Amino acid sequence: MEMGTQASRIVVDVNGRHLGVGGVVDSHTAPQLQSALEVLGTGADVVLNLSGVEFIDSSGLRVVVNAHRDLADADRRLTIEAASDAVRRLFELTGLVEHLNLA
Amino acid sequence: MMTGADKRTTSLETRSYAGASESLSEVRGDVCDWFLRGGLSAEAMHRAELIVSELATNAIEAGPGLDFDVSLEFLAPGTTLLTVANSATLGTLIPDRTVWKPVDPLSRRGRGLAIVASLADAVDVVVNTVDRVEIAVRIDDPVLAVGPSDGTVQTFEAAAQGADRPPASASEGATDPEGRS
Repeated sequence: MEMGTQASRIVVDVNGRHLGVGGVVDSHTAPQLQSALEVLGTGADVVLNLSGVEFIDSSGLRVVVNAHRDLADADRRLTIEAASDAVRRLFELTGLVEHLNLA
Repeated sequence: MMTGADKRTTSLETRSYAGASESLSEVRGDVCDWFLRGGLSAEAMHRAELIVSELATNAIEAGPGLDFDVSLEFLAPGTTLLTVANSATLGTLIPDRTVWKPVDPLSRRGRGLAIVASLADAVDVVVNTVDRVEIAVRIDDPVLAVGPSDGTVQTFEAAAQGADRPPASASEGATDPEGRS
């Protein structure tokens, strides 16, 4: 059995209602992004900058979509102000580019 | 379904990983390294990276703490077979293909297998029992793959036969198992 030498790493930088995300967003790291979004809550709009994301899969998408839906349910808005090529490719592949608020 | 007798393997690499999310980074790194060593394009490598991340995540969720295997084979120039297999699950099996694509784009979950189906040139759920789940995915490098010239997607069997046949013959009888256009 191969043992992991280095697990995925994510960087989440919170500044008010603005989150900057970098690194990898997979099932190992997505809970960290989810926790940061849960701390912000749905009392006001949130801006998400994904320009530093090097890799994202469906686990990361799930966190973004759930935040989008939770904020929408509270009549608030999640705006994705920037997306890396990896993020944009996956948004396009899954059809989310037409449903999320991309600045 | 492709059988062992159908395979035209020119290279095979199999590794086992711990059934924990900490393994995902190494799984993706190993697959990317294999594509790089094989001289395949960055486009094919990025597709494989995302596919294996989704399948490995499924394997870990189906059998947390249970090892899973990832195999890579060259079927033909530019054509790779990637297989992810759990030796056991906690009863979570692969759903029917009809529900791989979420009806609602904003569905809260259920995108992983849809992503795999969208990125792969063919997908085969080889084994789907509580004792073993095995999914095989064919990835054609658009630069190097020996495939049909009309853009259709081959079956696994056609891909295996294509390893010994010229491109024109390989497209005969090709079908689109994914219903992709």
